[in-house]
Amino acid sequence: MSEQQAITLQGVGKHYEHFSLSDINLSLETGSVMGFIGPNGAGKSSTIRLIMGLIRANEGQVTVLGYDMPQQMAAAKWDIGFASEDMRLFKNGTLQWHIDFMSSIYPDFDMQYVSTLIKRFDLKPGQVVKGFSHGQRVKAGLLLILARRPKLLVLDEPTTGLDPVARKEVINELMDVMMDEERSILFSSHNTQDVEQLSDTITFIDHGRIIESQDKEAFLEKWRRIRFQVQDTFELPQMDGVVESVLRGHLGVITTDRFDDAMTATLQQHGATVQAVEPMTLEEIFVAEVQASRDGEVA
Amino acid sequence: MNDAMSISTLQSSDSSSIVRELIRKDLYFNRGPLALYVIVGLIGIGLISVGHETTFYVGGLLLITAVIIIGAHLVYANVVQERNQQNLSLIMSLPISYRDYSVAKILANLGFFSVAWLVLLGTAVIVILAREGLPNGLIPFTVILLLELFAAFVLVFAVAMITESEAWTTVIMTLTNICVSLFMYGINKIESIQQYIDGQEAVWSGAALTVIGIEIAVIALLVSITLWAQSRKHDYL
Repeated sequence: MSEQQAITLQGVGKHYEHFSLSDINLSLETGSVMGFIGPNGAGKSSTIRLIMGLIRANEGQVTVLGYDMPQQMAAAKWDIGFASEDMRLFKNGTLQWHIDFMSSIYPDFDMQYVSTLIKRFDLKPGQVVKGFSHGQRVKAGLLLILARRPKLLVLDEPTTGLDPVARKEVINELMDVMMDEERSILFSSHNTQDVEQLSDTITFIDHGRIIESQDKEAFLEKWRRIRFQVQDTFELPQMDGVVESVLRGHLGVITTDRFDDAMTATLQQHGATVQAVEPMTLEEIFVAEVQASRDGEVA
Repeated sequence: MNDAMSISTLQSSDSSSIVRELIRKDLYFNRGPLALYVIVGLIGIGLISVGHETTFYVGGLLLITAVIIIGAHLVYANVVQERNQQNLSLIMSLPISYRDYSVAKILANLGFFSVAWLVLLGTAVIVILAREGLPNGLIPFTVILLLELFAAFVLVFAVAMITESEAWTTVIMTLTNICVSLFMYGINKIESIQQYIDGQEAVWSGAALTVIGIEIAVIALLVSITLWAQSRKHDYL
């Protein structure tokens, strides 16, 4: 594996009775942040468990920080900070107990950074975890990971269920982490706003398959919604990259994932009057991608 | 070659220090309840030593109950609830393999149970030897009975670890509890054990030693099966 890759999945498959991850190919460059987006049940958590070595692939190769997973999971995890939505701290322990527990395991546990994060996240070290709100639990979990300063952060839905203030605090802290160019983050969510804010690479997954993976900027540049007006006799010309087209009366809308000026020129040549070429949000792109992928599966 | 060896040695020492921390963690969260159950068991032994028939039976029941509850508490708090309350994700995010996790669980649970069990067995034996009203012939029977409870605990622990199922753990725990009285009935039917129970000397008959040997072998077999089954698992969450 290239040292430039923090994570590589090659032809990975994992099969359950009612769900399969199939032919997962994914790579995360060192120093970059990948947003991993998919609807509920798409396979995000299963993919992340494969990356962490917590489940074994039926086929394919999983390599993380140069280690084969799950065979070398113990060595790899020294440099991985992992948090997931279904991870809980010990309810009868205080935050201080958890800090002491982690610092007894990780010799480089940064106690100064812990103090900073305790203040920034407004946490009480002496409080027992069972008295924490969901937001406090998430922030406490993140504190325990960040104070280790791992090379790779793998975060499965870290902002799910957080109120806007807690979400902002978590996002801000992750943005600080991103300042370090040697550290990589894989960040799964179905909240596209968070992903758009943090990521420089976006991967969409649905029904256990990767449906698209590329630079965020490329996504945002290439996807457009074109609104146009037409006469009664208009027929939509053949154009590459049309993901969805809707024609109602005299109004038409095309969604494309390969926009260029030639598309508007073609429409105009066929008698349409282009009214607007609109950029799309990541959420709109995500929904269109999933819909197109599912339509393709049905066809 | 030397580098590879030193990396391997370093990782092995790292993982054993984490295993030690995981055992300390289990002790931290369970020390209070365990101490309480041991005290209940000691009260039971105290009642046995009074010398009346009623207190003897009540004390015996209290001792057996305490040993069963110590085992049940350890299995539910350290294995079943750790999974149900989603703490296992946190543990498995640490730089350990699943084998390290399994070894830590076996050492912690068997270790804590053994300490509590030895305290209660040792106290019971000392009390039997010290009290004139209690026949020393009870000692082999006490050892056999407490070893049966030890084996039952290891069985329930193995089921909890291997099946990862609260339902199966509860079923096996219920069955092992029902079997305690059947076991006592069965042991009393072995004449070469039963005939010495009321005697002034502790007699380790061939039958008694065979039962003890079988109990120890069952415990060792269950621990081995647990380690073997855990090492064959591919999915840990």
